Amino acid sequence: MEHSHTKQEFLSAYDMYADAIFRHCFFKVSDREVARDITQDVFTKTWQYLSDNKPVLNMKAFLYKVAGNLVIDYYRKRKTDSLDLKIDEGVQFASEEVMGGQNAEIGIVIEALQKLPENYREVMRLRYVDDLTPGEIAEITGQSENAVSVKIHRGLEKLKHILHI
Amino acid sequence: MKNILEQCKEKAQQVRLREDERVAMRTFLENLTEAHPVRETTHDRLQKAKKVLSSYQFLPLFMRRTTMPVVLIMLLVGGSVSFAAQGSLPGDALYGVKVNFNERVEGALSMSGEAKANLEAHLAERRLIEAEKLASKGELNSEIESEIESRFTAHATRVEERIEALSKSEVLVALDVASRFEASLNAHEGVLARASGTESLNMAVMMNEDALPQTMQMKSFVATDAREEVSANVSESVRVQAEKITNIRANLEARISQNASTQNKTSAEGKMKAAQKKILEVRAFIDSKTEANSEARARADAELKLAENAYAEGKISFEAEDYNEAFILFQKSLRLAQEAKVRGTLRHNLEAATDLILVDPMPTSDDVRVNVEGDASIHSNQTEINGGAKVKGNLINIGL
Repeated sequence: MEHSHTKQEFLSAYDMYADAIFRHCFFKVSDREVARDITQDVFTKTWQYLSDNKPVLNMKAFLYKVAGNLVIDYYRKRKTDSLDLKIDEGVQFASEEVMGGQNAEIGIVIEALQKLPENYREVMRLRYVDDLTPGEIAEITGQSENAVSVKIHRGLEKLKHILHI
Repeated sequence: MKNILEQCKEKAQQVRLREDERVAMRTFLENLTEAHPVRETTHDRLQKAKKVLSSYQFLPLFMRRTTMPVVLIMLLVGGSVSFAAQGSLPGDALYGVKVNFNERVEGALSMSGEAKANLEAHLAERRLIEAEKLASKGELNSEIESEIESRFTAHATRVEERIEALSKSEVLVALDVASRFEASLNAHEGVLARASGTESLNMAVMMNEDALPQTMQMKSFVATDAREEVSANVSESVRVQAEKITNIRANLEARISQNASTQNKTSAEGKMKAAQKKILEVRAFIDSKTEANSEARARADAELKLAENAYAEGKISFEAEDYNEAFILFQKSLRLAQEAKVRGTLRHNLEAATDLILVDPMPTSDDVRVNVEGDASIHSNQTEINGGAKVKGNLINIGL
């Protein structure tokens, strides 16, 4: 009874967010296979959490949080170079794959996002790649919604500066 | 810039799992959920137990985790406040709880017209007992007294209304209620009149005059006179209500006599038994509450004698087959016996109260003397006034 209810919720969360989580991971690890495996891990870990009868208030935010942690784990395991450098490489690679060279401008923007300072980068990416609202970003990053909005605003200014526009 | 970022979002949306990847992952997760089902926790077991329990209609409110503490607090606090309020008197903090909550609950619990009428009568009597208690403590000021009086009059008016309503359908029941209320009012009227009369004043002075200087005795007269006026107002209200209820009772009796069909042998017989029972009950009550050969016993006997006389008259009428007359006489006998009992109870309670006051370590003549000696002759006038004030309070206490 309780089980089937939780299972139902869990699987519908998968149907709803699998692509978004995959995308989020893909732009961080730049490897389709790796991103897919991490996505599966995200949902596996989430189910383990749920089956332990632990409550999840906001499933979407919870999935992004787990994904973020698993990406970090992934880079730690690889133990090659710095995390930031890898992410940079990955995104360049990813942007090329996604855009297929069709729209150089967007590729430049995505690259520019990577050049933002660490604390702006994550928020800007969640906002303009994962298309999350400031409220959702606040939930995931553990900041206030206000702080997130301010970061997005300032991030945009910095982005303009980087792109000289 | 915004435009480019929007495009960036759109483009990013194109990154997604392939359909086969999606399905494969979903299958994997479905198997996972079956292999590792949700663990049943204590909470679940509680939930199940709760569902079983909630199938009983009366349980859910008490079993809900959120409401249970509230219900318990209400029961504990509410219950004890209400209980504590029950013995409160006008002027006490909890008196409001008593008259506005406790007594309304009692009202809500009495269903029939007769029960409601009797309750109002009972509450009216309770107001009088409060007045008597306060008067015996010397705490009956004009403010409290007018509150009691207005409450008493309100209850008494409602009794009359109820009797009026009852008399339309159950005239015998109406007569019963009226008769009982009349007995109670008559008894209280006597006590209150005595409280405000000279009897208590004499008693108070008698108890203290040997020890008191002349000036203090004068002061005590003034004080008792003031109190006299106070309880005289309540006493007057009771007298007015008692007269009203006597008229109502007489009218009801007249109606019963006129309408012979309602009055037959059976109801006269019923009344006779009731009166007989009451007389025996009051006799036992007097024997248990008063000492043989005491003044209280003599008074109570005299009061009960009236009831017995009425009963004997009723018996004669009954044997003469005048059942209407017999019914009314038995009713009278019953009323007089009730009155005797109320009077007996009041006398008993007031005596107990007076005893308590007498053993209280209150400023007696000894204290006054010490004061006089202690202050020596220089402030003797001052001391006398202080002493007088003390004794004034004392006298009011002993007044009843």
